[in-house]
Amino acid sequence: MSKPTDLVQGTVDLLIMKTIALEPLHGWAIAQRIRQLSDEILQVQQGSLYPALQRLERQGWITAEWGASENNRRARFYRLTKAGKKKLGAEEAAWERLSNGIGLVLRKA
Amino acid sequence: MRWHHRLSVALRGWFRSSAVDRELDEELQFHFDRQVDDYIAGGMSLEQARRAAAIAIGNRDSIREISRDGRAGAWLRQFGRDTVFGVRLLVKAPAFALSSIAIMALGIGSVAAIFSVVYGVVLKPLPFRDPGRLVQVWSLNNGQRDGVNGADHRDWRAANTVFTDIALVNNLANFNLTGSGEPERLLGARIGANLLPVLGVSPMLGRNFSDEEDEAGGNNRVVLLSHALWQRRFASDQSIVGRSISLAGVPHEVVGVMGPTFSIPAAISSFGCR
Repeated sequence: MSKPTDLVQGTVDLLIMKTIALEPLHGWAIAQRIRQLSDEILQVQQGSLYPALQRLERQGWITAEWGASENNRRARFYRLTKAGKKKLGAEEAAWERLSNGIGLVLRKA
Repeated sequence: MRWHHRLSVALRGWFRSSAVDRELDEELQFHFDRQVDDYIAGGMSLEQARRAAAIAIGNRDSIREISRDGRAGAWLRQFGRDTVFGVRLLVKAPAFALSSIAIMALGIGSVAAIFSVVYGVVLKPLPFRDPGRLVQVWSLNNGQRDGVNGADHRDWRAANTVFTDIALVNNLANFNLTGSGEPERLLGARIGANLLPVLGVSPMLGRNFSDEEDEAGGNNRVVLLSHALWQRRFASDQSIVGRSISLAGVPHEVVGVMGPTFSIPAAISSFGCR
């Protein structure tokens, strides 16, 4: 089994924001969701997940609240703020453009 | 609304860093436990699951550190720690510390002293109006720089098309002050009546010399006192103007007192030469 690909820092932020866009999630669930949605290709390490969460919170894109987890433990749930939603839209568009560009080069060159 | 949220997050990071740390610890512990549950559900024993989860999470201290570094005031805490560390090293080696402090003190002291001299002599702008347009003019005598005599000065002024005005000053003049108190030898200058207007300064008390007093054969027994002399010798007497002082035994009328920033001959000798 090959090692899951490490993620570039900017994309971690994008993936986190996208995963919590639908419903508030706690850290573990965010990592899990990213792993599942990417068919186990992408794995966010704890060492980059929690610093990223705190960074996003500081920048005001997400907020956190303590709540009860699915197994009835106290867990910290993250959700997008209004500004975070706008930011996510912009980041998604930017990513779309970037990956399109890279795709074009790889196909045509 | 957003700045409000950001501010509150920043303030929490700043003032309640330990609370943020505790929350992060609890979060990481939850993550760990949840991972253990997951592994057990996948068929591992508790022991195996704990070990696997610990490996998956990695070093909690480093996570804590990264998150702390991003928090508001991180650089200040870092600076504080570096300072404490530095002080400790210095205390550990007092001889080295003292000699390096002494070397730095000497270095800083000498640089400061040299700079203040250089500043006073070279860099400090002249305390006159438009110092960049002031120049000192000399006459040439056998290729040597020489003073200007009164007759030349009158001709130069009459033929002048280059300068706003030309004023005469002889800044190496000594005067013997006698009369009240100890006799004293004063360093001063003989100046033309238009010098002060050329420099853009006027006396603090009284008046400048008049044109009539400037004429050859006019009443030239008139003096302007420097601020320092006025304070020291005449106790800052406001009514000094119009009184008479004795220079070389000859009474001279005090027509005015200069302000504290004006000093002759020092001011004149600090002109740039062109």
